[in-house]
Amino acid sequence: MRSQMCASCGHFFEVEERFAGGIVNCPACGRATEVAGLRDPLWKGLVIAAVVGWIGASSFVASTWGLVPGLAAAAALGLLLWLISRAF
Amino acid sequence: MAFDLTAYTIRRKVLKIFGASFHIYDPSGNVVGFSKQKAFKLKEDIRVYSDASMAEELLTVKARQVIDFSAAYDIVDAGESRKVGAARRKGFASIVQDTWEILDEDDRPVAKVREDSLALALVRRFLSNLVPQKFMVEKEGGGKEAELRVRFNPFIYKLDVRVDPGATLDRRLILGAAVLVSAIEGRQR
Repeated sequence: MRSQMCASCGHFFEVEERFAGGIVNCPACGRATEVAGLRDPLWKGLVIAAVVGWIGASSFVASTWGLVPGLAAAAALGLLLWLISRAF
Repeated sequence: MAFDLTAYTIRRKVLKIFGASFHIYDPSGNVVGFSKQKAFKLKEDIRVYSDASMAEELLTVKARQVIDFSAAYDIVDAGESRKVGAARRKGFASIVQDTWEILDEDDRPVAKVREDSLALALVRRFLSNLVPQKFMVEKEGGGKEAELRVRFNPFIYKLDVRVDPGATLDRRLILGAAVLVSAIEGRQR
């Protein structure tokens, strides 16, 4: 259980963990209020890994073959990452 | 209003690069709603409006977590500012056959949205996604509430929603589930 304050009326109430990051109705005023979410360490890790990989791979291509292929690799990898994110 | 209708069609807007948007049409072809999926949001955030001007918001559908194998989406009546329930995608079951649970505001299951048949679901996954999807909305304990049917059209995504005249399930939950099916399942085509 976690403590939650209604954004509309300021009433404090308890909500179950499964509602974390979601929306519940305040038991006092009945209005929907957002519940603070869990931190998403997995997601943050994935995003950081993707960005580091993207910069690293583009820099490697740029240092090996030059700036234009490096920029092209950055664009292609960025597009690929965006398409992967769309698939989920 | 889209909630009051027993039949409507959700059509995905083509040539949209970021996010997704859908028009909702009544059987006469009039726009009765417009839905927009926000782009670049970590958590899915889908809004349903009364029309494309987006002046009046009808429903808000929001994911609880960024990554969640059995993702739950809260459905809020924006006019009343009240959560009416949620829809939860059954992750493992959906690998072979798309299955959603419709929950009430306290997360108690009230209905299921299930792809029509296992055999067709397997054909769609492993042979051809040209076989259009069909979903049945059934109350817990049995009883058909609505039917969602994707039209055969490889280019434009259209989903026909037929609500049973005797349906007792909250129409807002049916509309929320139909929009979710269009946005989430429709994206996997």
